Amino acid sequence: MGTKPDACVLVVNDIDTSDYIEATIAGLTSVGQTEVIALAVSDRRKEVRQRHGRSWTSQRPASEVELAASLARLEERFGLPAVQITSQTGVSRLCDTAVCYFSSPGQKETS
Amino acid sequence: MTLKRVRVTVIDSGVAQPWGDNLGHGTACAALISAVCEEVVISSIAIVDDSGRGSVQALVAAIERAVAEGTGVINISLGHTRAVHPETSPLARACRQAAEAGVILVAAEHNDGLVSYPAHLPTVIGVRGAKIYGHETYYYCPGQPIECVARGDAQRVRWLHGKEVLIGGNSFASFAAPRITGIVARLKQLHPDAGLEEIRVLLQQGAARIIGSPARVSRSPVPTPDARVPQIQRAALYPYTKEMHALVRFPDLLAFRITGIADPPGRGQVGRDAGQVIGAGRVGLQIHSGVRDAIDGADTLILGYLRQLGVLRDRDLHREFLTLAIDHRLHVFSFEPLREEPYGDLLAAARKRDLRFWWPEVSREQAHGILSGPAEHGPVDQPVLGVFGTSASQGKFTLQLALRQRFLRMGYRVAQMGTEHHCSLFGMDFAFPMGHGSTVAVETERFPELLDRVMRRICAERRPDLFLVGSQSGTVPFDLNDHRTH
Repeated sequence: MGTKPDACVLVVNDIDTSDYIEATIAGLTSVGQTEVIALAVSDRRKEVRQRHGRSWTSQRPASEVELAASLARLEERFGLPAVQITSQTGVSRLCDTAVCYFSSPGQKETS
Repeated sequence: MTLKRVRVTVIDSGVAQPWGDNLGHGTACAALISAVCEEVVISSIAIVDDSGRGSVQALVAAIERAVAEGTGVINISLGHTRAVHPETSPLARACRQAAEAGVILVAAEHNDGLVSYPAHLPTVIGVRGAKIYGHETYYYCPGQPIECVARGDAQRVRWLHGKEVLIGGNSFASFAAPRITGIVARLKQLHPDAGLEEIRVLLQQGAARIIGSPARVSRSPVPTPDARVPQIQRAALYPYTKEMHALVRFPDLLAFRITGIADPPGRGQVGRDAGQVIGAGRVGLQIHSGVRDAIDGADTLILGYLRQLGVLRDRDLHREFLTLAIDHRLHVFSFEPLREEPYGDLLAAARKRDLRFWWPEVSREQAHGILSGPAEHGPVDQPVLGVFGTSASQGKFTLQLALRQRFLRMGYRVAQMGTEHHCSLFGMDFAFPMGHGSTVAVETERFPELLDRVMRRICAERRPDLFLVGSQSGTVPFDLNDHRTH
């Protein structure tokens, strides 16, 4: 940290459990004093593989169906906008979310 | 000669007589305006409730209404600190339309000096409060978002029920703005057709002191690790790893063109189009197997992480490619440091040929320079948006670049610092390579202070609309009790 962001976008993996994402959001909020305003996922899908007693993570391109399901699951579970990082529409939505967050009706502060 | 009285609208909590005001703030502003310029017709539009709160929507509607009613000057001794798009936000649009209609808007800056709106909009005369003696004395700051400084210390002002109260601190902008509004009203009386730019010139002419100028206030540049960066025109990349993918994915963020790419054989990328490899569509750059083939037409060779690759192949790849670069008169940007030991001979040879070999780092000397002495600049008051992640290899840097690209296209002034080695190649303000192959020679516990100081300076020098920051993975460990997940 050290940059003390007012708000942040959290990039998550589709293999992350909801509990872990929730704990990360809680950590960023409490320790980082920042607000998670959106979630983002990669267009590549991670898979944990196991063989001969060892495990490793591999990646492959995610299909559109998988991505859509993943985004829908995140939005439903966390109530935050969830986008895919290389999607123009997704990034545009993130920017709009950030602008909306930073320019939400303010208060009289100079009087 | 009889001068036409100028209509001044006070957008605030109201004005006690004859409109009504439950707070007193608007009444005080109106009284201050009338004290400076007696020949004004005051109008009041109340948008602040009894608790002192209002909304941006109400402010926008009030500005539009005042313009429609034919006001000449608007006083706004209030504001908010949320980011405002300087072109497309409703508030910016309303202020611009008012200025285009010849109406002069004067607004108070936040009392703590935070960037606040509408005071910081380019179509508004922003006013700061300070301890300045004299009822009508003011300073003018040409070219600055906050152009005027007027009396804002403790003072007696008209309040409710005909009473006067002593109010304010050392920098109370709310009551500094009406003084400038009064002066602007007087100028409008003398120059009824004067628009915003003419009024600015007249304000400068009448100021007791001119503070700074765009040329004078520019300070030394932010001490980035990449002060030695030469102008790149055409670059060749090696190897084609995920870090290099970003250079191909975001060509419009680069000030140079990529003319060649090479990657070691055996990874399945040689012969393929660099864009198609990353799923970004054809870019017309075929990946070569040898660096020698990729440098044709380039002036700079960008070398990624080579050390591990060299160990695997039992070769000193840095030495090989630096020698190649010298032979072909190429500058070199390296992700990894090129120290005197063991590359002193090659660095000397490069210097002799006026070639630059450079790499991003935050050395002890640089860190000391940033950290020594008291903080020069005020706190970061621009919105800061971060990108964090739950693990490595997620595309966090890609997202940071995508956000940079999008915000720049939307017209925002973006400041940005990142933790990747090649941040500066994308025009970011500061590279802090603290992750894989870290070149940050500062104790971890000093990171926050160092980053804070760098951000303060960037904000003071660039006045961005937004600050984007990124992070390596592991900000929040998967398991605090398991060091392997830190």
